[in-house]
Parts: sequence; structure tokens; C-alpha cells
Amino acid sequence: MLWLKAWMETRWKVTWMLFFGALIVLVAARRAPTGLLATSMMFSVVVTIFLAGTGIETASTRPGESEKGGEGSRLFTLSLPVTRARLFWVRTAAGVLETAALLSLFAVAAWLLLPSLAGNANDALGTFAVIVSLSMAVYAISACLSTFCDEGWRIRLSGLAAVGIYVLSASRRLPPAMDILQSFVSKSPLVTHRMPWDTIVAACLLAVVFFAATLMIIQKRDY
Amino acid sequence: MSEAVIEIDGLRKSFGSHAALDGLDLRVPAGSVFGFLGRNGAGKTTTSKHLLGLIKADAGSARIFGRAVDDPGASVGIRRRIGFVTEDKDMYPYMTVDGIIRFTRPFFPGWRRDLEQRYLDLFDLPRSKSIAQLSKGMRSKLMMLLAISHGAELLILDEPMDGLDPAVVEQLLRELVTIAADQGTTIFFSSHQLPDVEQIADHVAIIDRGKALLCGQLDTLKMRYQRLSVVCSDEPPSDIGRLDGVESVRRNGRMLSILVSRNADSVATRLRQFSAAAVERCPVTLKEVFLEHVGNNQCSG
Repeated sequence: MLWLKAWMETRWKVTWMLFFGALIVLVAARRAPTGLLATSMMFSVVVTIFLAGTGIETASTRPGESEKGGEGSRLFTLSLPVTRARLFWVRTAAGVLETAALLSLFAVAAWLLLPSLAGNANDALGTFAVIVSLSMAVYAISACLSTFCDEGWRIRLSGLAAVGIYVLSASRRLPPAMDILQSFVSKSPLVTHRMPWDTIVAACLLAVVFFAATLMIIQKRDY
Repeated sequence: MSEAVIEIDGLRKSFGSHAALDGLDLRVPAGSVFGFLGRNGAGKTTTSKHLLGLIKADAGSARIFGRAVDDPGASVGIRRRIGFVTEDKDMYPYMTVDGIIRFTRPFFPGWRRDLEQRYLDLFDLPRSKSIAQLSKGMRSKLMMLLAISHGAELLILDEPMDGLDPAVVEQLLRELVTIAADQGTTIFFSSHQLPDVEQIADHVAIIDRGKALLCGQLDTLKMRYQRLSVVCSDEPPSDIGRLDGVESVRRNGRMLSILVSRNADSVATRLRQFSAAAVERCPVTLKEVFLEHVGNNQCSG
């Protein structure tokens, strides 16, 4: 039943992301003949941003907090005979599955519509893995922010973090594994024809750390 | 005395510099209808939230059914046996009445369809209507249905009558009495609506600034507390307030109105020894007792 609740609270966001994602795929497919690689990279970056956005939105719903309900709605959920950990994991897993489903859908669409990807199955799969791992990291950070920020601050802080990453990446001050932007440009599997394992592992570790931190905060906090 | 369902000892909780609970002690007997009284901000909601494991206390302990509420494992088991109605009656606005019943049912193995149907009919709740379209009164009834239908042994109701029209209040009060009588359910409800409490409670506690000022059986309290209306033949002595048992004295010329919490007989005798020409005893209302305690506490700061 918690799965159903999670879906009911995020279904419209997922629908919107599906709509925007479909638009991006179609635009990218139309531009593909004039710049295959650049278009694929642009596609990767934009889709990641949108899917991370989905993650941010779904993760913003804290355990027990409904999309439209207020304090009482959260109290109602928390008064059910369920642990906070289970509420958190169901909510998080639902968001992760929704994000992964959207990613898979776009990946298949891109595979079918972008000829440059169709010819390089391994590279396309590598790009997909990068997008998934980075989306999970962004999702986890956003989930953590949502435990102590309201929606306005969460969006501002997420935006600030994105700008910070861009600045650090542009000035080459990040460790290679953490340089997210480069995994879409110079380190993209579409360019290097290699899987950027260091970036994928770093992103997964980041996701695990932030998910664990979020769970700890949720279990300790007062509602 | 019957076994206590809720036992609270020296509970303390602060939010920043504000002490919401300041050494609260409380015993709620099994099968009682327990009115938990206090002004807004007295600590009622904080207490209810702690009992449900929603907030953690800084010190002290609370047990329900003999199990510590701050043990996360025990808390899940406790919540399976409790029905809770929140102060603002918010639920999921995107669900229908039927949807939230179907959502809630699987969490409680002891869910009783007969009670569900009984309260759907009694409260005239339309199954297909969206929760977003329900009035506050209807949401109160729906929350009550969800709290009762799983055969809860204890109902924790936080300001259940707040903002409801008198007809709905009357219907809910009647049902609470029926539930307590028919099923032996313990009802712990916080309120600042004193007439509602006086109508159905058999036990009360008055809380102010996070401390229980008074706790006991309502009938006993009302018997213990009496108002003495006194007419003096001469100027009444100024030290009447010092007599043992005298809580407050109001003067109007040679007429006195004295609230006593004990020793009413000896106080009356002493008054006659002074200059009292007539001493009449009057019963007091819960409101008078409440205002006496909360008012005094407020003044003494």
C-alpha cells in the first residue's frame, strides 16, 4: 500500500517528465544528422538534468509527507504501524524506480532514433550507465536536502550545487572521478569508447553516503 | 485501581529554549475516558506525539501497554493497537474515502469490516467522495472511522472536536462513550473544550507549561472541590486565604466566595468561628477548577 501511495503522490510529476523527455528525444533525433556526437552529448546532459529533476521532485516528498497534504497528513502516515526506515525506503525506491524507468524509456528511444548510438551499442550502454549513476547521486543529495530544507531552499541549494560543480569542473579543480561534466564531454564513452568506471563508482558511493545520511536524519528527527 | 495503559514519568522536551514538557507525570487507567486539558501550547500535542513515537523526549519515560514508546521496535507494535486522530484531520487529499480505507486496512490485521460499515453508515460518509472535497467535520468522522475500525485498544485523540459544529461534536461524543462502554477501549483525548470533556470524561488531567497540575477521577475532583458562599456579619478576616484547603477567595464587601480543594468542613467551621452569618456550599464546574489552576499558575509565572 505504501508503494501505491508513493506512486499516487508522484504520478503527475512522472507524467510531466515523460512528456518533456519525449520532446527532448524528438528534438535530438531531428538534429542528429548535422552533429551526431554533439547531439548525443547534449541529449545526455539535458536528459540527466531532467531526470535528476524528477528525482529531486520525488525525493522532496519526505517519508510520510504527501504532495498536497500538510502536517496532519504526515502525522497520519507516521502514526501507522510502520517503521520510519520502511517509509523512507519505499519512498526512495519508488522514486529510483520511476527515474530508472524513464531513463530506460529514453535510452531505448534514443537507441531507435539516433543513428550514432545505434552503431555503438557498448558506448550507448556506457552513457546510459553514467546517466543512471549520476541521477542516483543527485537524487540522494536532493533527498538529504529535503530533510531539513523547504522546497524553495532545496531548489536554490540544488541550483547552487550545480553551478559550483560547473565552476569547479571548468577550472579543473575537481578530482577526475568527481568531474561529472567531463563524463559527458571529454570522458564520455561516446568519445573515449571506454566505460568511465571511476565516475560511476564515485557517483554510486555519493548516492550511498547521502541515502544513509538521509535515513539517519529521518530516524532521529522529531515530527 | 485499574492497570494503567499509559504511564508517563518525568517527561521533558524542549524546542530550543522553550520547554514544551517540563517533568510531566501521568497515569491513564485502562478502560477510562481520559480528558487531557490545557490551554493552547500547554504541551498536549507534544505529549500525544511522543506517545506515538513522533518526537523523542529529552528526559523521562513513557510506556503504553507496558512498553517503552521510544523503542522503535516496540513503537510499531504499540501503534498497531492504537487509533490516532490528529488535530488538523489532514489525510491524503488525492484519495477517496474508499481509497483511504483500503489503504489503511492492510496495516492492521485486526481490522473489523463490521465496524467499518457501521461507521460509514452512521457518519454518512460517501465512499466515492474525494477527501479533498470533505468538510473538516466529515474528515474528523473519517479519521475516527479509521482509528476505530481496526479494533484499537487505545484511542489517542488530539483536539478531536476542534472547529466542528455542535451537531457533529455531539455525535462524536456519543460515539466515544459507546466505544468505551461497548469495547472497553481506553480513550485519551486532549482538549481545551471543557464542556465536552465534562460531558464524557471519567478521568481528567490539567496540564500547563508542560506539567500536570491536577490528575484524577472527575467525580472525585468535583466532590473535593467546592465553592463556599459566605456572608459575614462583620468585616471578614483578611487571612482566610491561608486556611488549609482554600484555593482562592473573592471578596465583595462582606460577601465571600471561596474555592476549596479539601477540608471543606473544617474551613466552613472556621468561617463560622470568625464572623460568618451564613455559609452555603455549591458544587463547582470543571471550568472553575481549570481556571483556578491554570490561572494561578499563569500569575505565579
